[in-house]
Amino acid sequence: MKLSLGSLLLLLLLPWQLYAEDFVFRVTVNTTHPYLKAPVHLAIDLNQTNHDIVLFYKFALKPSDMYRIEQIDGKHDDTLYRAHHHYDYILYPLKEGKINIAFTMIKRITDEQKLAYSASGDRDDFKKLQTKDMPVALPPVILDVKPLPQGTKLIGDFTLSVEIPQRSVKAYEPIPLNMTIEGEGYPPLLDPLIPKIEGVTRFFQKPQVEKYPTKAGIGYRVHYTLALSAEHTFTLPEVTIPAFDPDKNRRYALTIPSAAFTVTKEDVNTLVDTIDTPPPYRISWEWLYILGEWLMIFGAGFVSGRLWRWQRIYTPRSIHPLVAKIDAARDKKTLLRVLMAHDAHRFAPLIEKIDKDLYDTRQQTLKSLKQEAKELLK
Amino acid sequence: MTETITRLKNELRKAVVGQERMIEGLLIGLLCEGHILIEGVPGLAKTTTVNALSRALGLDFKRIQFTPDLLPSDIIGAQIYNPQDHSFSIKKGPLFTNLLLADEINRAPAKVQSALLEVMQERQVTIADETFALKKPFLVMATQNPIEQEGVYALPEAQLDRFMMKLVVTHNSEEEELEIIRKGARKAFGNVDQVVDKEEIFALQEVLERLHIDPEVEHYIVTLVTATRDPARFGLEALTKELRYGVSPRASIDLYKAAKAKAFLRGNDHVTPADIGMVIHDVFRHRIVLSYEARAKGITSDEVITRIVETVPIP
Repeated sequence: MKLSLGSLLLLLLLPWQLYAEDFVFRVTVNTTHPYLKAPVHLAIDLNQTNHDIVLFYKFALKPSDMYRIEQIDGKHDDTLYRAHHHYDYILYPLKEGKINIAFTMIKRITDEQKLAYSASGDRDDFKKLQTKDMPVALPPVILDVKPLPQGTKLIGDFTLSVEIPQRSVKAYEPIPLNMTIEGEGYPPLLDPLIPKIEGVTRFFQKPQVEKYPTKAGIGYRVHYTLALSAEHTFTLPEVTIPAFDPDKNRRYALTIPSAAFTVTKEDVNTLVDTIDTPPPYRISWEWLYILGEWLMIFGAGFVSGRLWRWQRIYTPRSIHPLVAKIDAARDKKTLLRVLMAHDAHRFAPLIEKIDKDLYDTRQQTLKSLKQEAKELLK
Repeated sequence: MTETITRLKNELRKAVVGQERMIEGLLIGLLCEGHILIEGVPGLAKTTTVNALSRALGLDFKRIQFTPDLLPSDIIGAQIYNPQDHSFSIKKGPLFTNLLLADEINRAPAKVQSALLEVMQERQVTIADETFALKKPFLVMATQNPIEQEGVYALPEAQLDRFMMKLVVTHNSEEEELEIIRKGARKAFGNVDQVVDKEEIFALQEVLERLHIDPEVEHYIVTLVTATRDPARFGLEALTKELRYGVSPRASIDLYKAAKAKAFLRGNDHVTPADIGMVIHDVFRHRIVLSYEARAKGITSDEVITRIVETVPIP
């Protein structure tokens, strides 16, 4: 490998430190020529050199789309007059060529008195620490990122495990596949993991990513849960995932072995949902029934109205109840009782006549008296 | 004697058109010394008729307009203190008269109505510790309006029982109405003159007392009265639930007297069942107490009386 002048200069500066006012800034990188997406260990130390002041740091790596950062450790020792901060990062370069890793740094100077005053506050009477904040411009770390070998899909040292619990299923029954890629390196997220197969439907689930600490940095364990479904028997072809281990500078491949699946045909009729399936389409004549009902109601109303009219025309007038009682009277005394009971004043002349007839003359017939009573009613 | 009655009726007709039933009822009350309660809507000549009767009889007449703020002393009188000689004198109220028109009697509160009780029954008035007998004849003719129900006090049963008859005055016939408007427009209602004096009335009352009434007819009266109290005995089981109380013994007496008076007014010297039948509604209608169910069904006391008269056989 040929070293350029710039690369040589960078190698000379590793580790390099900056003596700023009041503190020293030290950066250590394990490599300045990483491969694309290969993890780079970045250690940063901030040590106070001016022991006459109380100093605090506010330090961070500037986020960028040129790299991805994971902080894996950090130690903050804010001992008065001797403040020391240590940061450990894993950095994944995302662009080839030279990239700058920039920092933001604010130096915060205060004194013991101010510190004591701020500590005297409480929840209800918070006293902010009065500091003199000064931004410090730190020079960026420059990485020269190398391209990956052609066709590389995984970067790091990974292993693959495949679990196929079922190889014989019924038509369209899902065939579960569980695969796990585990190791150190750039997060092993592949999409799709299984290529398209004719006549087979693939069902993917979002991969479940586990992160765990390792001596070198961070390890990843990614679980892929997917399922296949087909009508006919098929064979899953062998899938090779090309990988590259930047630490050992070697290429290797992870292989999903070929697997044959036996699919037996299912009777289609047994698959039909007989409970929730809508009834087969047919022409509805319900509107005709409704129309018929309405016509019947209309007809009934019309006929009722007519009947009422006919009844009014043809029904004979009801007989006056008093006339009925007069007709029903079997003797003169009964007739007298009826007339006295109902309207003695109206029938007064007739009452007197009946009275006279009953107890004196006895000349009138019952019929004539009844007739007279009816005439008085008119 | 019927000539006196005819004369009286003719004189009354000068001031009153139609209302024969009311006039006849008032005459029965006069002959029997019974108090009359007249019920009818306004404008049916209730007051005019009583007024005309008093003039035709030449009797002393007073009218009291009953109001909610009326006090007993307003009608019976009171003791008045005389500061000059430090003594009390009696100021007699309008009750001291022959004919008393108690207009709209149901507008007065219960204490005023109670003050009338003693007067109507005993025909005497007590003011402070003195009791005064009223001059004969003494008749109370009370009117009440059946329409208005707001601000009226229903007459208690005890007082209603003291009225011999309750006359229900209805509107005149069309012919009578025509005569009224013609006379009213021409102001042609004549002045009523005295045509009968007190002595003649007393004489008529004596004749009335002598009028014959057969024991069977007397029994008929008792049977009718009993039928209001125990209708089931007469095959009127349906009335048992509708009647709360039947009529009182005072009703028997009044029916007896009213039937006699009716027979007299008809010119008969004896009482027949027809006389009873002609007055029974007026004598009984305010005395029968209907049950709640009957009132809820809209049954009237007149309907109950009708069914009793229809059912009880006549002698």
